[in-house]
Amino acid sequence: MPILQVSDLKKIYTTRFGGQQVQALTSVNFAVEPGEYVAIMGESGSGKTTLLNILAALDKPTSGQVLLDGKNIVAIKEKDIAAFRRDHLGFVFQDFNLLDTFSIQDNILLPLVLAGKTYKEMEKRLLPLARRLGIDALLKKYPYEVSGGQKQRVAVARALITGPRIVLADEPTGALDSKATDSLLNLFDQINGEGQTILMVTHSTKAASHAKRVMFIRDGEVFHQIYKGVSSTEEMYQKISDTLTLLAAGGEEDA
Amino acid sequence: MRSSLYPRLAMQSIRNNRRFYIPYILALLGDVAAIYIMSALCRDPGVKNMTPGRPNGYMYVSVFMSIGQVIAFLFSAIFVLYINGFLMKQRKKELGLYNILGMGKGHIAVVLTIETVYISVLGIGGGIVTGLIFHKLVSLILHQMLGMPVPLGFYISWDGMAWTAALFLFLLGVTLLVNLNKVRVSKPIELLRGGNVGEREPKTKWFMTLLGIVTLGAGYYIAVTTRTGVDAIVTYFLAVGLVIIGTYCLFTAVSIFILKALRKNKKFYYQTGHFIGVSGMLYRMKQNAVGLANICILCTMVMVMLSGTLSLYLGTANAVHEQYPGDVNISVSYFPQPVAGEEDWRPFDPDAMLAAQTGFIESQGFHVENVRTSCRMGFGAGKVSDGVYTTDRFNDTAKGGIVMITVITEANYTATTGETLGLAPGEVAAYGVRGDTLTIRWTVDAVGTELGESSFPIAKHLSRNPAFDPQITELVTIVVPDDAAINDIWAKQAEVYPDDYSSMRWLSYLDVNAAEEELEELQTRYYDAIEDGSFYEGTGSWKRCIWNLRSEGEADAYGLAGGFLFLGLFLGFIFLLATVLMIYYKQISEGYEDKDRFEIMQKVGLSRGEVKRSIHSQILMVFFLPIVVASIHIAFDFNMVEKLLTLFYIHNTTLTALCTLGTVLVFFIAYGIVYAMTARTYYKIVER
Repeated sequence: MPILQVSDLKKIYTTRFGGQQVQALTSVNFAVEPGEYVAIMGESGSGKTTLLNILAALDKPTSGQVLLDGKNIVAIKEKDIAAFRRDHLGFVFQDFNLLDTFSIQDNILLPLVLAGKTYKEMEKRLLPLARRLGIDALLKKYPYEVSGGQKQRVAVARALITGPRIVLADEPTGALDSKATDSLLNLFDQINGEGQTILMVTHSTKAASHAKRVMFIRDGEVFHQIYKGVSSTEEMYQKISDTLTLLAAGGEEDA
Repeated sequence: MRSSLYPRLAMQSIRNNRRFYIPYILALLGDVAAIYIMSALCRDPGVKNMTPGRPNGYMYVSVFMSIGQVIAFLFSAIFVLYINGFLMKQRKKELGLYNILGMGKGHIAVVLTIETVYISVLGIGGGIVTGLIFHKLVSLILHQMLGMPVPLGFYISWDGMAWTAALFLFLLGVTLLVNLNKVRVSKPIELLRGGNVGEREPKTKWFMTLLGIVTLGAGYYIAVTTRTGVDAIVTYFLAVGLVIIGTYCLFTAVSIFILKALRKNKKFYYQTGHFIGVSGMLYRMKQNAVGLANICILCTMVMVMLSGTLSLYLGTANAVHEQYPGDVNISVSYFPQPVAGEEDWRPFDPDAMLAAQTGFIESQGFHVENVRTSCRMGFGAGKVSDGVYTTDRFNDTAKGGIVMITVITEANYTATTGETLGLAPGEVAAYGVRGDTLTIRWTVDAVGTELGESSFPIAKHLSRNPAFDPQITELVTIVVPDDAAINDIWAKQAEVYPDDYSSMRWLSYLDVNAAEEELEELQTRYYDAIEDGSFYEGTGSWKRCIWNLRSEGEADAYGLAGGFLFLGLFLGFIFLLATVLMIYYKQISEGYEDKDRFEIMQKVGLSRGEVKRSIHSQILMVFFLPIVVASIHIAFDFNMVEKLLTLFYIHNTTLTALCTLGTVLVFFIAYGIVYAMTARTYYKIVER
């Protein structure tokens, strides 16, 4: 059974004045299997952010279904959404979204505190995770005292600490330099290798080339997808580039 | 074309920032109106003419208003500069954008200047118009409070207007200069980035924490241990200064110390509510400590002023009745025994004196009723211990300092209180003494010759002082059964104070059913009548005979108390206005800062309900902390206010306590309303 099943997802925005309608998602269908590492690519305005927001239960679709472990998250009641998100999903954002008022340790523990776990349990989960991510020396520091790459690792730790079914990453390398990007992508490979399902939205060919599967979205639809299979990351990079070129050319033909 | 651009830009930027500017202009308007009204009241000739040639409450008002004006203006100045700083911080981005879009700093200066002109026109012009309208109303209230007839007509003080306008133009001019200077020295990119600089975690300041605890403790200690009104005057400002320092330290250092201690407690800290609350408060306190301390001090001032002046005003009726039990109060000083240098001494005859006085009043066509007479005396002594006093006032054994011992007869006590004590000969009732006996050691002052001592069993302890005087020193009052007992004590003190013995005072309180003017006329005729030497024939030897009309004392007391209350209300209004606005601006700036934080928390899994609850508890804490601390200050200050009030013959603890409680309660309600109103603005910002 797929961990995530998206079927016929539609999202139509109505502008505030004049009632003009903009179709962000036309009809999106796909499934993610447990342990998969999926990248979603697309141009600005292709609908990827809208898709991610719906998957994250931050936004509601106009129609369609999103099944996580067979449960339709679209139908979850407003008051239960926060707890659902906290318990089942992990988030990594482009701009880290760490809180300046908390130490690194407290930033990582935030979802557990919100979930009402005991401090004992928090401690039990924190240290092994921090060691795995190589940030155990930073725990007492504050976000403004560490580098961008380190911040993103902290954000990953925060996403993983609840043991989520799936990690949703939104342009995780967008604010990092190339060295930090490599290091983060290797980290993603590592945690995926340990069985963590990851869904990543990105512009970056390099980031996408690490994924096991890449989906391309255009005009609110899944337009194409390629599997990594046995090919190396470099070969995958080439495939993605080719596809993107094709997409761009196709886009012009349509216009 | 070009020249019309600037005024348009200026108008637009005020309109775009109306959330900040409207309250600012309204506050300015309120301050201007208040100061205009004060200066108009100082000058209003209509009021002076109402009661020519007589000292009245208006005199006090005039003096109070001139002082009040200065305080109010100084305060407005601090306040306007504070708000201006806040406004400029919020607008940095906008100004930076202008600069980057190609406006030179000179152009920005022109826009800022035109803005200031608009604000001046609205604030000062509007304020003066408001002042003109409300002046009449305020003047009516004032006359009512002073118990004076209401003046007719509508007075406009051109001087006051010019003076007020000049003051505030100057003030706004200063703010403009400050702003222009800020623009001049800043770089556009800094302006654009505005206030977003990474905040460091606040450090625990040990010295400040200790200083705060020590100063606050010392201030409270002084306030609580003050024993007399005069002490209170002397130490009041010291105590206030200490408490102000303590308050600043409390908010800036002690608060952080406590929060950090809470954070160390892992079990407590890692719970949803506490986790967000404690860390949030830690940063809030760093940024807002001074602002909150300001609000706290303002609140305290307003509450002290209102409760103090209210107690004074409400206690005045009682105080006047205690000082002037009758419509006409006659006081005669005399010696019950012949003293050196007085030949031809004959004993003072109270009955003959009373007959002479009532005879005179009746002869003028008035009816005397409810005649009460009594006699009393008072002398200073050194306090050895509670209940033991020595007349060798500066002897080493007199460790307790000087006390004023007043001796009254039971007749006097009954006349003023209406109660009977039924004292047996040799017994006394006492106020201000603990223990079973009262002992006075008769020792010749400064010489040391001992003349024995008098000991009186205390039959009853009085909870209220029946012969109240302003507490310049500690007061002890003894009620003795009869004139013989009081004469005996008089003789003893005359012996031990050979150079400055006290006299006895015979008092009679007469009710004369007559109007105020008639009584004044009667008094004038009395002074004429005693020119004739035969008036006092047969009354014996005495030193001085004085008439006191209650109506005169009343006018004076109400003038003073009404003037104080009026000033208290007026300054209270201005301070409250300032407090309200500071809260409002604080809410807004907090809102902008919190917006991002709560957005992140929502993404990580905090529900909307939890966000709301968490915001609510933090905001509630931040905004009610100052008023809670202020209330604690008030509680400690109570003793001091009570002692100060004794200088105005107010010694009604219950009344003062009720006034204080009432003021605190009303303040909490007003504060709560303001909070609820501004909290809505805050939510709008955070939830957008």
